[in-house]
Amino acid sequence: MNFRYFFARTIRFILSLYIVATIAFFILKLAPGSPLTQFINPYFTIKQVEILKRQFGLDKPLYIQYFRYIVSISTLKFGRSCRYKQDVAGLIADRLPNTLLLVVPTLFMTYIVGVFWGMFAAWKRGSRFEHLSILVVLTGRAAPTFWVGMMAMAVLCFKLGWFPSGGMLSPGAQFHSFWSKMFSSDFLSHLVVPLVTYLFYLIGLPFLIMRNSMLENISKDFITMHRFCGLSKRKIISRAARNSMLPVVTVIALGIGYIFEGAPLIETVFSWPGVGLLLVDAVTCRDYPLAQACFLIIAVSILFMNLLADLLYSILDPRISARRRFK
Amino acid sequence: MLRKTKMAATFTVVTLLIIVVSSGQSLLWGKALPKERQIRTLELYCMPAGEDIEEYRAAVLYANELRKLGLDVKEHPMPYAVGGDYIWRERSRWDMTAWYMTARPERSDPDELLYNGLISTTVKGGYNFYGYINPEMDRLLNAQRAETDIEKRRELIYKIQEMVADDVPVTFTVHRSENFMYNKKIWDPNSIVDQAGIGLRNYWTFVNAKPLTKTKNMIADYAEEERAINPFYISGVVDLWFVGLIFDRLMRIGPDGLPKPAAAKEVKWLDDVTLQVILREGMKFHDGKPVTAEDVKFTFKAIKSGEAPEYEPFAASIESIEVLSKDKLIFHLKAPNVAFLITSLAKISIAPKHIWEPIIEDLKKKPTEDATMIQREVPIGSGPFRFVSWRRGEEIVLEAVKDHYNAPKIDRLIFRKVSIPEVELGQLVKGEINFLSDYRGDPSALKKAAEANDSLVWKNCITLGARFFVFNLRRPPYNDKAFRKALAYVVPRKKIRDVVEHGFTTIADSFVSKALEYWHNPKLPQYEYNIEKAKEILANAGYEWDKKGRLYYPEGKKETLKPAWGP
Repeated sequence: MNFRYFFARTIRFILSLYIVATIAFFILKLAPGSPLTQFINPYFTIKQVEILKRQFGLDKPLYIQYFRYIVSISTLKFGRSCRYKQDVAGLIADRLPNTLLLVVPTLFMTYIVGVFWGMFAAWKRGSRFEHLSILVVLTGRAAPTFWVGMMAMAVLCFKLGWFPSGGMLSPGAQFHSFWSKMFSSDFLSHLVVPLVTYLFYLIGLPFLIMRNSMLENISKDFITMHRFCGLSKRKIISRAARNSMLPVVTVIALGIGYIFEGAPLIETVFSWPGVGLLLVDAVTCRDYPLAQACFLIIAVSILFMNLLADLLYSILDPRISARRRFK
Repeated sequence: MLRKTKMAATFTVVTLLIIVVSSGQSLLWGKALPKERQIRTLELYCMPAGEDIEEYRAAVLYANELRKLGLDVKEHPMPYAVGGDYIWRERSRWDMTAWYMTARPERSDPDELLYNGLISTTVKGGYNFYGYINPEMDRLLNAQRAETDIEKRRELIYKIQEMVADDVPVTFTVHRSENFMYNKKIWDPNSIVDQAGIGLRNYWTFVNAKPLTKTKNMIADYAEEERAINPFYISGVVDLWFVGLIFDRLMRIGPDGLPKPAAAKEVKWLDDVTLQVILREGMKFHDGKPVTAEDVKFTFKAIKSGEAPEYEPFAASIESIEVLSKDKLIFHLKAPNVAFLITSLAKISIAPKHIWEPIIEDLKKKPTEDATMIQREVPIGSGPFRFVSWRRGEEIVLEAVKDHYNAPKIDRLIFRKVSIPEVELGQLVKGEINFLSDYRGDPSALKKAAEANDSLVWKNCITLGARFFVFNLRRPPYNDKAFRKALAYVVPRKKIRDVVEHGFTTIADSFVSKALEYWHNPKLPQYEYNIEKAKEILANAGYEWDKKGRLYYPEGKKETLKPAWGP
């Protein structure tokens, strides 16, 4: 690995992060609206407006607010939420694990199922299996997630009664540790329906990419060569699949961004106490510190995965980091 | 000569013809009116359909009716965080807006809405954002606060409502209704209390609900994110339910909407500014320490010290508090205020001094922090329910305090967050929750469910909240009472009730809800939809229509776009 390349990428990462943070600040601040509206009631007076503005730091000019914001995020303190009046870091730390508990297993399953499914669909090109698979996958991609969620809930939870319909745990349930909670049947039964709904939506991407890249590889010379050599069908599929995996790996890095794309909808439908709803509420109510922190978390995770992908590529493909030398 | 006569004759004839034609035209198609008298395009603000579908639809219907009067109206949907801010801050820049009031229990006394919404002192930055100024109204508002004879006070409240109906600073549409549902095989229907203007989800229901089966847990739901459980922070509507159950209050608002002693055994007005309070014996905080008069004094003092800004107005009328003994204290008020029992004593939660005093003292040293920012891990109060656990955004578990003077009949009260109405209903039918306490969807779904299942009880309750259209009285033409009256006559209230609200509500005619039978004036003018009458009022006031039917100011008035007064 080339250290100069690593260094340059890291600098670029920090720079992009700064730009994103600045955009997150101004896009929210310059949008009309105010976090004070939620406090409007018959007793809401001029004096209270001033107190709240001081508390939220809105009484200072914009450049001071910006400066304070940059200082606070670079020390990893995101300030205090306007609505909850609690530390934003604490609020997110409370909710982020719940979202991850839903999203991480979903992503795992999506990519495993999607890759294998796409692989077989490509191998069975032109069969009824392939046509049906594409139909199912495109339906999942096109159907509104909340609608699919509601339908899944109506059938699996209310009609058949197989699964509970909302929340992460049963009413009043208590567990001694995080792990005992995670592997309890209570938690797992709550996880099934949201996971399936989410998977149904996400699976389109790995499936289609895997299928297309597999189709491309199957027609390549080395596969024909393998056929001539008389390799078994299984071996040929696995060799074609290994070469087709690369684009899927790239998409996984970007897939982190999808955590926050579908999560608010799934979380609302299934009353899942995750971070997605926190973000949506924060933006609609102009809770600046909370919304900014949520934006930054999304940005950092996407930028970081990109950085990771870049660095991994430089290891996998030396031409990328050594480009300069060969110029 | 002849030629000249001919020319003159022709000229005269042509001139006459022109005069005849033009006057005929004005007789046939209306007068040509000066452009500067034409009323500008009026903007009607409301929430977007995604945020409040009922308000949006009502605004669209109303705008159509206004167009029939010859006004050029533009609906302007804005999300609350944007629109609310604009209406509140730019006091003289908007024309009309739809508005609504939520049903908070302290509004059971008519004082809160009437006083803060109509007194001239709140025009500049307070709740009188429409700019209603009337010295006679100010006098009446202050008089009702000082009137200790409840019958006489009611007369004054009636008069205030009549005056609002006559002056039309706002025009009412409907009361908001709330819908509740439970299974009568699980809960004894006689033990579920319908509190006037609040509905089934109230202190009395949670304390009285009698289980008929082995289930001793009530599982209720809430639809909106909870934020804090803090006796010093009015953080959100649902948070106040939890605070009201964990913490006790000197008074509670009774099922009839009138104040009822709670932690106070007895309250007595010694004169119109002095109130003596005797506490119940044997009350304890959930950590075992006794509740004393010192705790009560501390709570009110902490609020008055500015560490709880949202609660401060509720304690503003207190001059001083004097503790006579362990269970006896006296409130000295600055001025007579009969609503004090509800707006202060039934509003403020008693906080334990031994826990909060060091916190408040510490906060006094920090200028940018106050008690609203303190979230105790286990909130300790002296109410009928003890805090057990809280998973943010998912559920809150409370446990009955069996030695409380209003000991609940259930063991545990569990609130689950469910934000989608269809899911709420599904969970109730399936039994995942057993008391539907925060339903914000279409009531006809509940009606259907109740018809399909005999054991489900559905209740549609009229609340203290009302919807209305607000006119900005600072801006012409709204500074003209006749104009406002005409506008009040074209609100399609029946359509709004039957179509927009699906028939599950009542037409409103006052800030005081019809749910408050004692205070609501039954003889108010109804302004039933009548476009002919509206046109007549406008014509009598001198307004005119041009040939295209557009409305013009009376003679002598011009469109200036500038507010008549105000900033």
